[in-house]
Amino acid sequence: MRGFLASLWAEGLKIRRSKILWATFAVAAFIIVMVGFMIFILKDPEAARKYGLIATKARITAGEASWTSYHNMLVQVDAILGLLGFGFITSWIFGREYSDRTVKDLLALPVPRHAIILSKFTAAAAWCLLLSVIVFPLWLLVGGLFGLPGWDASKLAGWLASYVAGNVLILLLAPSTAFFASVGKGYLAPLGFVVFVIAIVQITTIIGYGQYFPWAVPVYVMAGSGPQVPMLDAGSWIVFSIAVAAGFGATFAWWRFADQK
Amino acid sequence: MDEIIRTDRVSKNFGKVRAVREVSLSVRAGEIYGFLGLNGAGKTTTIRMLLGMIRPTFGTAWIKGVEVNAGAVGLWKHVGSLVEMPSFYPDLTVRENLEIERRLRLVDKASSVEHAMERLGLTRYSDRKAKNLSLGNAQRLGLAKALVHDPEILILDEPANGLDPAGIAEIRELLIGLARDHGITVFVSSHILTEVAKLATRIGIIHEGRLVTEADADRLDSLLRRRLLVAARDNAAAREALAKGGFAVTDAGQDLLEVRDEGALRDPGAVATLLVEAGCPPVLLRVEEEELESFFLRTVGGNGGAAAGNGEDVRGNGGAE
Repeated sequence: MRGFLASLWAEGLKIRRSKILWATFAVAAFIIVMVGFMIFILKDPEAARKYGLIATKARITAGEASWTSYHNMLVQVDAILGLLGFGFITSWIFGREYSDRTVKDLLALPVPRHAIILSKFTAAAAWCLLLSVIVFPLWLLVGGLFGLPGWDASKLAGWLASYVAGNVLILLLAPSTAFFASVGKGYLAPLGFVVFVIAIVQITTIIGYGQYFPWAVPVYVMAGSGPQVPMLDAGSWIVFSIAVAAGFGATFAWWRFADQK
Repeated sequence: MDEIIRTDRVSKNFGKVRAVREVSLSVRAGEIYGFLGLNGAGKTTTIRMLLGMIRPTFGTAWIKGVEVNAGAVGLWKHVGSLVEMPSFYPDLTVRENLEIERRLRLVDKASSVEHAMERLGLTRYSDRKAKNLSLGNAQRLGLAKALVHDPEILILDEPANGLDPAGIAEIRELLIGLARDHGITVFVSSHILTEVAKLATRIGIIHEGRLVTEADADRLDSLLRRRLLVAARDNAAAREALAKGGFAVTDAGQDLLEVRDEGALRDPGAVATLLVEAGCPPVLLRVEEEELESFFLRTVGGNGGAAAGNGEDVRGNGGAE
């Protein structure tokens, strides 16, 4: 436990001193504002004409200016950016040890390697959850500021529940990117993996088998129920659980058993 | 004396490449073991096996009697290490980098960070970001990280890399002091024999993955080749006289004769007397000892078989050259 806490402290310091932390918050805030802005211009036909292409895109994606559309857009954006963003954060936390060549200083320590990995996962989870905690109220604030119509307070609890559940599920899948960061010794392999996964989410969704692709499961959970959202069944949760266990297991096994050249 | 580090035929293959082949060595408590080899000889791979970073394909390594492997966590409280280039978190200051190391080494005493900085002359750079350090100071930071927990054993891979001559001498004195005054066992790799010879109490030379020579540093002299170079006004007559006197003579080039007989090396004066009495007095007699680098290269099978430099002239009756 002492080793874990020492390592967690170190991870915290590394994150706090990094510009990437603030960059992730800035990117998330920018995206929320952009989503809000797209819905906002749909509200005003004059503005929609003025912004041409953006308005067309907004109309295709959201359809109409309302809180429901705004929420649907947030779900789409957050699902993909969650996979990408959480993957990026995990990649950074693990991959930087390779790009800074500091990984060799984490291997011959009185702190067991599993405690080092666990502290990294904990730090990644804290960072991702903090980001999620900031995004949701910011989303509400931006929607309010743009004066979107159709506010329904009764829907808020459902939106929040699916948002939290989706983000937690995405977080549980993040260790697989840590594995690719460790095997690939840097950022490229895990980011490539994340992009690949996002592409497969799209493809499996189109062909109707997304519910059996682990990385699509959080996206559907976040989208909630609806005619266009595939139903998750026991099989979905089995493949999801296998992917989570494989991500954790493979990362721990790599650090414990693979040659660290 | 206690055996602190021991390897028994440790070997490592990377695919078809045999990086380390059956290296068996032993380092006793308080010893400074110089592990020499050219680049790519297998030094770093051996060190990584000693630190449990890579698993030997064959053989075993022990530190303080405990078999080294990735799970031998308790061992690393006693070991400080620097592998290849020093590494650090570039956006953190020197102090923060050392603070991380202190905590990960489970050291309670916060003052150990200050102490490590003082030891390595880093105090004035304590608040400087590590990425802004010079190469030499980065190397010092790497060493400070290895020392922050006052280890009993130091395993260092080319610790003098990037240091200027004054820095090299400083690190040498530091390591000698740690071994002499604190009984710390040091295993240090290098590719510079002359530098290691000033530091190590025992030397092992690795080449193409094999440990080719091991010797106590104070016996190193006996491994160096010596020869007596002779020149006379009439080299042909001198060669004949030396042969008659029972010496094996070869041509050393540049109008010089070479004698390697132990008797001649011990008493060059006797050779001078022999030549004078034979009527071909020498104009030059010089005992020449092989340089360390030459010895090293000869040992690993490279160039440098010829002795050079460090000559001791013994001039005979024939006058100066």
